Amino acid sequence: MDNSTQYDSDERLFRYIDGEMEEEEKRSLEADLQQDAALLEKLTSLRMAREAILQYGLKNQVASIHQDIMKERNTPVVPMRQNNFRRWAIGVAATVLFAWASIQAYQYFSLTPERVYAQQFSSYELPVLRSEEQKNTSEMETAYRDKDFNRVVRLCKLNSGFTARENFLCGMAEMELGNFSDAIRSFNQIIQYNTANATREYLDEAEYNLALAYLKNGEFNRSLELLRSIHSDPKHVYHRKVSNRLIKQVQRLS
Amino acid sequence: MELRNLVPDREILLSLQTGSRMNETIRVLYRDHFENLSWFIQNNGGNRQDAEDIFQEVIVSFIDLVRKDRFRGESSIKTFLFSINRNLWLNEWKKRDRAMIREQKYEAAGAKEEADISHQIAEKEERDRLIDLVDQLGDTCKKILLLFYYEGRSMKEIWEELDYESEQVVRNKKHKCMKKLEELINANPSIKNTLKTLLNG
Repeated sequence: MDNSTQYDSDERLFRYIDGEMEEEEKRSLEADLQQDAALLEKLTSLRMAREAILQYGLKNQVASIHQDIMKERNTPVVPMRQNNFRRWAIGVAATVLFAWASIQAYQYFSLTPERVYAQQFSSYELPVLRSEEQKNTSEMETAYRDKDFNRVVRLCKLNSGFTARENFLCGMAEMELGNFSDAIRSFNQIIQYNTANATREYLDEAEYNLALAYLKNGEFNRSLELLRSIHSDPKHVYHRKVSNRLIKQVQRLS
Repeated sequence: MELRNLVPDREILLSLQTGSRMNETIRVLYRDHFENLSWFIQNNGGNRQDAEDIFQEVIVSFIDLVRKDRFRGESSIKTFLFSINRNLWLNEWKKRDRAMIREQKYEAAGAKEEADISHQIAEKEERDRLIDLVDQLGDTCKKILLLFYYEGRSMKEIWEELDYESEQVVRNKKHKCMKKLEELINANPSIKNTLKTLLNG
């Protein structure tokens, strides 16, 4: 095979594995592959190279998340000698009991909406997208992804008739900026939208964050009502985040 | 915010298949399974570092199998991850040539209904060798190939990001890099076999 024929053949295989061929061209190559063992071998070789890259990328992505998680946990496991276990266990139990009593006392006397909110609120992060998905990303999502919450809020105020997802981003941006009345409005719109359409788009997320927004806005009874509803629904996404303890804390504040 | 507190298996599988919310999903897998699988390794001759290393391999193998449609949810994700963990640790242990723990111990610890997935997953050492081989490509080649094949970016996007003269120049460079990688693979029969296993199961 001369160089130019070789080049054309390689080019054809690249276009095939990269998904750039039209149906007809694809069928023609697939027919050639049935007849031409060398061509098939070359294709397998290219597929292996692509597979190596996919494995490399995946391994790097997992390793990077692994490092972050281990840093966050930072919980070294120290091996323990068996014969010291009993004494150690009693010591730990006493320390834990004392620490627990101190924490309870501290929490009782220092309970504020700000503290409860800080314990419960988590920022929402949009997932990393592949390029195909990025093409369809709205201006609001881009601003949110860039953590430009002021811009998100400006966009929310410019238009109306948002989707549940966009309303959720509006609400979360308002939460980030501390505009809790506006966040309440956005989350309530999501609830109304879902009620009207019998859907559950961002409904659980909206209910939980609405409860927190009410809490921070001093509307404790409304917050409590939502939290009780989430707590009593085991299928609610935030069911496990709404503990008895949280409900008692909000009750004490109200 | 975490993806969910209790994420159903089907949502995890959907995320891994489509690549959407991948980072969050991997975090959910860590949150829900790392301690259990780590406990198994630390109770079967390994230490915390072994558990961390093997868990990374478990996650990589699992995502790979899901993407190739070789895990369709016949068992729960929990059971399947346990099975991969056990296989990888058993192989690692055998390599270390320590006879203290016998295979039966693993058999006793594992559920009988687990699928045999040993032929579908690459051993840790094999995968490490594959990573070292790709590292030989050089940074520019790795960057272009990762952006195109792993992140699914278009040639135009890569051209704009890496500041090449034209889209065609990037395309030619990508082809050269792939050929270089092919040569490296073909010169290494053991890695070639690993890749065959990964491609064909």
